[in-house]
Amino acid sequence: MDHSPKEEHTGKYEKSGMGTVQPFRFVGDDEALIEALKSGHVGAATVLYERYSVHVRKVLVRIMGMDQELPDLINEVFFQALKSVDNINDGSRLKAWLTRIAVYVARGCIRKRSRKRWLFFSEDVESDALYHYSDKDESRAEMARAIRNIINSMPVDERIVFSLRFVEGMEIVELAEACEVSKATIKRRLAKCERRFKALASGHEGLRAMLESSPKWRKR
Amino acid sequence: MNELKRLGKEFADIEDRALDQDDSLEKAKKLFIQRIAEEREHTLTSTGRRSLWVPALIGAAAAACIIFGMMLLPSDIPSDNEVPVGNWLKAPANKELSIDFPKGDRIVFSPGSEGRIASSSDEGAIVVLERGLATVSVVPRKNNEWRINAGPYEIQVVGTKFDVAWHPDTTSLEITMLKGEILVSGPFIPEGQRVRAEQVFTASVVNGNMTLSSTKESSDNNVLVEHQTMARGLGSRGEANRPGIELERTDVPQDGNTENFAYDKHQNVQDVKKSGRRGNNSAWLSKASAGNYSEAISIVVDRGLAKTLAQSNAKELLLLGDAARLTKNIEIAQKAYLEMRKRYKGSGLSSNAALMMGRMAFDQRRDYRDAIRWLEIYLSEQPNSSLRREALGRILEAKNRSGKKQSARQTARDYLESYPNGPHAATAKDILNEAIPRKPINNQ
Repeated sequence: MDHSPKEEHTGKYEKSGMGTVQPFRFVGDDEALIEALKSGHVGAATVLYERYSVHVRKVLVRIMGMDQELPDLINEVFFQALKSVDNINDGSRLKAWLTRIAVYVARGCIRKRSRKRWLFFSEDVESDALYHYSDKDESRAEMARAIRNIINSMPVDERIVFSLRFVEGMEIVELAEACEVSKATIKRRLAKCERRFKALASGHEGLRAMLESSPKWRKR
Repeated sequence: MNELKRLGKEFADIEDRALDQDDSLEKAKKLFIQRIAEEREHTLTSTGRRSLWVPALIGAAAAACIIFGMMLLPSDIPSDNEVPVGNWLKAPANKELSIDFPKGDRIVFSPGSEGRIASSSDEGAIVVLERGLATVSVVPRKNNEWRINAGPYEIQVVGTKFDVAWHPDTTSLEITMLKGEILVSGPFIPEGQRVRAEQVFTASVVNGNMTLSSTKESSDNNVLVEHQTMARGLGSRGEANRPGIELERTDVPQDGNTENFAYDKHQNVQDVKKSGRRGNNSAWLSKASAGNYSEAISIVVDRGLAKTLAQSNAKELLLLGDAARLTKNIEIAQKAYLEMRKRYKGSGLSSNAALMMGRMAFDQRRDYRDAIRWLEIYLSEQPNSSLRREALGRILEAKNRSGKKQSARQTARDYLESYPNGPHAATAKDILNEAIPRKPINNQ
C-alpha cells in the first residue's frame, strides 16, 4: 500500500515524509550484516534483500529466461538464505553464497517442470516468456529468442554453465563455486554444451551464419 | 573474441533491456513482505516456537513496509493490531523519518537519529531514543500512557510537543519543551522533574549535572537563555549514600584533597588551575575538560600513561577513561578504569568504571563474554542503581549473542519481572519464546 509523502516543511532539512529505515551498525558492511542476520536483528533480512535482489534476479534470469515465476523464485532464494545463514561467516563470500543458492533454486525449478511435463504433458510455460525478447532489429530479436530456446532445451547442468559462462560472463572459478563442483567438471560441461549449442544452432540460419564465420567452429 | 562469447554478450544486452521493462522485482517485494507475515503467523500458531531468524522477519515486515515506501498506518500493521514493535529505526543522513501512530500522535526522528518502538497500545507507546534528536507530538488525552526512554531517563508524556536529544557517548540528555508539560525521571531525579513549555532541561550522567533553563526573546529578537544550574542530585538533598552513579558519595577516598566531588567540567578546570600537585596533569586535563579528547589523549601518550595514571585522582581517572573510550583508544581507557577500580575499590566511581568496561567490551570490542562479566560486577556492586535496567538489558543481549541460551533465559525472566515494558522487554520475550518446546503433531 502506498501513501503520498507528507507535505510538512522542516526548515533546513529536506521535506519531511517517508524516510528510509536503515538498520544501523551494518550499513555497507556484509560482515556485520551476516552477524546481524545470525543474531536475528530486525531489519537485517530486508537489508539483505535490498542489497542483493537485483543480482539474484540476474542470475535466475540468465538460467531461466524472463520467466513468469521469477518473483517466486527470487523470494525462494532469500528464504533459503535466511534459513541457512548459519552456513556462512565470511562477508566477502556473501554474494557468491547467494549465487550458489540461486543456482540451486533454479535447478530445482527446472527439474520439477521437467518431471511435470513428462508426467502430465503440461504446457511449456517457458515458451510464453519468449515474447519479452524484442529489439528494433527484428532479426536480432529473433536470434535472441532462438538462443533462449536452445538454452532452455539443454540438460539442466549444461543449461546452467552455458548461460552463466557465455551470457553472464562468469569465470570458471566462480562457476565452479556456484555449481558446487570442481573446475574440471565445469570445463567438461562447457565442452559438452558448446558442442550441443553448435548442433542446435545449425538449425537456425542466422545463428549458423554467425557461428560459421568463426574459424574455431568451422573446424569442428 | 570467441564467437560464442560475443553472441552471448549480444544476447545479454537484449535480455538486460527486457529486464529494464520487467516488474518482477516489484512483485517480488510484495511477495517478500507477505510471506514474512505468513511465516510469522505460521511459526507462532503451529508450534509456539520461534527460530532465531523469525525476529528478523517480524521486524523485516515492518522495516520492509518503510523501506519500500509505505507509511506505518494501522491498516499496514500485522494482524495483532499493534504498531510493529522492536524494529530499529534510523532516519537517513539527510532526511527526517516520521512515524505516525493511531489517534494522531507522531514522532519525527531527525536526520541520522536512531530509535525503536518498544511497545504500543491504544493508550500510547513506549519509544526508545537510541541516539540523536526526536520531535514528539502527543495529542492531549485522558489516560494517555506515553513514555520516551533516552538512556537511563524516562519521559512521561500526557499531551505535549517537545524535542528530546540523547547522546549515549557523552550520556547527555536535552529536552526542549514546545508545548505542554512533561515529567522526566532518571539518575539524580528519581521522583521526576517537571519541564514546562519554553523551558530547556539538560542532564549528563557522567558529569552528574543538570540545568533547567528558560528561553525568552529580547526586544531585538535574540533568544536569551537564563541558566539555573541545579545543585540537587549531588548531595544537597541528603542523597550522599544513594547507590547508582555515585558521584556524590562522601565516603570516597579523595587522595587527601578536599575538593567538591561533584563532577562538573567547569569546576574541574578551576580545580586544575588552583592545584599545584596536579600541575603536571593540567595540560591534558584542560583539553579533556573542554571536550578536546583527541588532543588530551595525545598529550597523555607523550608524557607517559603510567605517570599520568599515578598522578590522577578519581575524577581525573574517570575523565581519562572516558576521553580514551570516546576516541577509541581502548587500551588507555581500560588502564584508566582498572586503575580507578584498584585505588578506589568499593566506591561508586569504581562501580561506574566497571559499567564503562562492560560497555566498551560490548560496543567496541564485541567481546560479549567480557561484557557480561563487567556488567554483572557492576550490578553486584550497585544492585539498586538507576542504571540497572540498562545494564541488565545489555547483559541479556550479550548472553543471547554469545550463545549462552540457558543463562539468557534466566536473565530474560529477571528482566521481565522488573521491567515488563522496558526497552529490552521484546528481546526478553523472544528469548523465552524460543525455549517453548514444539507440540507433538498428534496433539493438535
